Amino acid sequence: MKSSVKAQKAPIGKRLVKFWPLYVMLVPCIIYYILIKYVPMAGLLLAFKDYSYKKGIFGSPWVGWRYFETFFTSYDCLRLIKNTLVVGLIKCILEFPFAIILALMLNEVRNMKFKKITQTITYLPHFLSTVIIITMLQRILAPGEGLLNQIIAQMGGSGDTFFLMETKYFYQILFSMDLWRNIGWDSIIYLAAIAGVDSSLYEAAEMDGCGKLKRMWHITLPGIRGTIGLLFIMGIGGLLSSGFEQIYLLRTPGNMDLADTLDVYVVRIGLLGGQFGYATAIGLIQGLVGLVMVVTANKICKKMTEVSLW
Amino acid sequence: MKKQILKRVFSTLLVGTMVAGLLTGCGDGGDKPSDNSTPQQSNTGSGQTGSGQENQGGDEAQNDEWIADREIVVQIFVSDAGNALPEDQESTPVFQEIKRRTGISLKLQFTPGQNGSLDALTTQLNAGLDPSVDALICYLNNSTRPEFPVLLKAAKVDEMFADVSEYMKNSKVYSKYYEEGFLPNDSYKNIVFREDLDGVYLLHLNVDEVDRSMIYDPNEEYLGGPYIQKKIADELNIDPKSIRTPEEFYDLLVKIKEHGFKDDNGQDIIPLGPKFWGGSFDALSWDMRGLKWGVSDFYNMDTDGQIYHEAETDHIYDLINYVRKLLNEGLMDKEYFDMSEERAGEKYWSHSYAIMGDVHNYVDIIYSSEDWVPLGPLNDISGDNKMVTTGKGGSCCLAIMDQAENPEEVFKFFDWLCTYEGQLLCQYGVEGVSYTMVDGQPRLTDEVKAKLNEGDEDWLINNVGAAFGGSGAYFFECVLTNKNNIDNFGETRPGASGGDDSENIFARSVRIAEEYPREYKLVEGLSATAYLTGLSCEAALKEAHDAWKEELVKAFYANESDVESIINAFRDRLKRAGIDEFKEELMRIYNEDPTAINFYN
Repeated sequence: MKSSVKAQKAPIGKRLVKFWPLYVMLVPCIIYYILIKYVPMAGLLLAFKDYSYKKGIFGSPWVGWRYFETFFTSYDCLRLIKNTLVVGLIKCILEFPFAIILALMLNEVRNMKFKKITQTITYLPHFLSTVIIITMLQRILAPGEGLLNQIIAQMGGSGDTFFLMETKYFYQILFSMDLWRNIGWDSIIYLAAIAGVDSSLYEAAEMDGCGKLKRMWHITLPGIRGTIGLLFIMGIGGLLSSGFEQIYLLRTPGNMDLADTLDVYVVRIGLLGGQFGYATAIGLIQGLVGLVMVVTANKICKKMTEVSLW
Repeated sequence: MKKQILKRVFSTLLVGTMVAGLLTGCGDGGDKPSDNSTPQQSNTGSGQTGSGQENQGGDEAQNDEWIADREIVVQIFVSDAGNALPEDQESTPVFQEIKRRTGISLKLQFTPGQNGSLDALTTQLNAGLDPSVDALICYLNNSTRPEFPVLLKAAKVDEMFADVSEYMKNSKVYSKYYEEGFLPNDSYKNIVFREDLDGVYLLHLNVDEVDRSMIYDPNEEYLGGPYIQKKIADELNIDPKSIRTPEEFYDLLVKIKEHGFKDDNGQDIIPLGPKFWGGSFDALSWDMRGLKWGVSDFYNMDTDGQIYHEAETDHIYDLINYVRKLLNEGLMDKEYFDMSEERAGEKYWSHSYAIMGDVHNYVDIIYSSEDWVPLGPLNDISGDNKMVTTGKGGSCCLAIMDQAENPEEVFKFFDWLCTYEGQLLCQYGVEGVSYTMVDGQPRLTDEVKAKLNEGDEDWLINNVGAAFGGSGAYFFECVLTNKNNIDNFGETRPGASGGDDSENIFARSVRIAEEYPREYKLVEGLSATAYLTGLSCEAALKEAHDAWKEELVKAFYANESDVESIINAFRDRLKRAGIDEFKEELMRIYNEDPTAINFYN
């Protein structure tokens, strides 16, 4: 213990010599972050440039805040922001507790075979591609011949509802689909955190007469509070980012009033339209809002629960 | 101690392995043998017809046709062409023959994309093409295609293309583009010889030598539009050709529904289905033709002599109410506008619809059986059912890259492809391999004819590599211009003349065209939106135009009380986007030349 403290306090040069194999192992990681995460940030300049392939990012002329003005004065601006926020709220806030609940439930299952099968079943959807999931969904929700409409028809309903073409069903479909896909995967980290809770606490609580629910409430949940807090803070950063594939594929003329989000807009107008600068400007807005949200959530979390990222 | 040493040895080895792996990953693969490294190497490899050096020696054909001993790389943005490339281009007879005669090792590249490769074109032109690419080819019917602004920006702003005007003047074929009346007006003014460009950067392709756009030739005709199940038409005792007006069409749908026809699975048939290729807005222009007032990209001139977007007039409610009626009464599939191609195909093969919203006679479901026959065509807003043609046109575009080494040689190669010799090779393949000359005309060999009739595209592409009228390597179809097959080769396309029709896989396609002939009417001019470029309202109005189809579909499905507010909101959007400025410009153009815009009613 004493020597490790000494080693930490040793000058960087000495530490480099002593632990050089470890530092060399770190090199690929650092290179990865520099090349893939930091160098591309220079591309943010595009948000202020009239990009020309011939002149390159740095040689293209400056346009100042033009793209930002265009976006904030555009016909769709408010609707896009509102839709993105709502979808972000559904994905980051509304779906958030469900993975915790599943983890708590799985933790209480004593039959290991049943537990493993349940876990596998809940993880599997995470590995399906969005295109496959949406195709399945389109078939299930198809008017007339779709499974859901067949059931409705069997129960005496009309059975010809075009769920994907009606605005009123959009959020429900999105929520159910996203939850089904991610709940199992998201619960893994909570299960791992639960496994780390001291088992003697449960024994003590049991001796004090606590039932399952009380143990869950007073021991398990406080025990994984740190993990919940961290994941919540990180999730908040994605509030202004709805994800592209899923919404793009679910979007129909009937539900586009709700399904037009910033991510879809960026691809539709920015990338497919070749307006890289405009797309970058919108991406930059999303990134900055995400950063502000994470910092704010971190502060609030720290103040209220003493859990924080930094 | 021993343990520590072992640990160090293992960790050092591990680190060494990781670093080696990283360096290998970052390498440029320099050791990889190059298939197309130099023309010399390619020549040495082409065994069938001799090397490039031999060609330089003195083959008779070489004097006229020889261009250069080099490679030309073409990036294709035409999905039909990109999906029909030989697996091994170098060893395909047509590519070998090109090499033998011109010295050119042709290498075709394709990146799949959506929207007919539009997104691939947009992304690659904005992010930069592979530096080895010498030329590109993409879709381009006319200057209103969505590809055009992308190409124009690349030519004008990014200066990515080479100016070929100097080479064109003395060229074998492209010099014709300077002749008055050879190019369609739009191709001449807006694509090839644009005033805002200081040269020629974009070459419109597939412009016929002779304008036959008003001539109906069953051997060539693609009969698009709705098709009805023959047994249903027979059972209802109706003549499919007699259905002309929206009312007659509606009555037919009602009759079908009331009759209670069943599909192959015993399920009720839905009277009207989407396009054979899946849900789409476009089928409306066939199935509701008489109610589509905005004939020029949703614009038209009304009886008061004023120009309007269709959303601004009450004509739009005729269409909306009609579609809503069909949807509400179960006469039209609810997924008419939004269904995957696979599902639509499944349903059509199961005969789940009585009427196919849109298909044509060269699709297998039509020519492979007698199940479907053309319906109508329905009348348009002018009250007749003639097909509109804008006259001579083109369908693809060629641009030679500024980065190309010696662009003149690249241009000469494309020019040669369009000569008689080049076209013969592109369309028929190699003499003795895929055709023989009979009375001075090329005629396909029996083997090729059999493969053509069997629809064996893979064989045609990989064993010959010619276009065969679009049934083979489609690149060699779309890269041509100045085509005149009837005068040059004595038939409209390879294999069209002679032989036993019963063996021809497309025999029924031709028969349909013979039994259901159509007439053409000429409506000159461009679509209204072609004139939007350069106006201050361009960006906002373009976005509004792009949104219109979806807004209209939304109105079809909305509650009755919401329809008016959807249309009013869109009218407001058009106003805010600056439609008045655009309409003023259109009016000015129309007053100067009434044939400039393809309005009719």
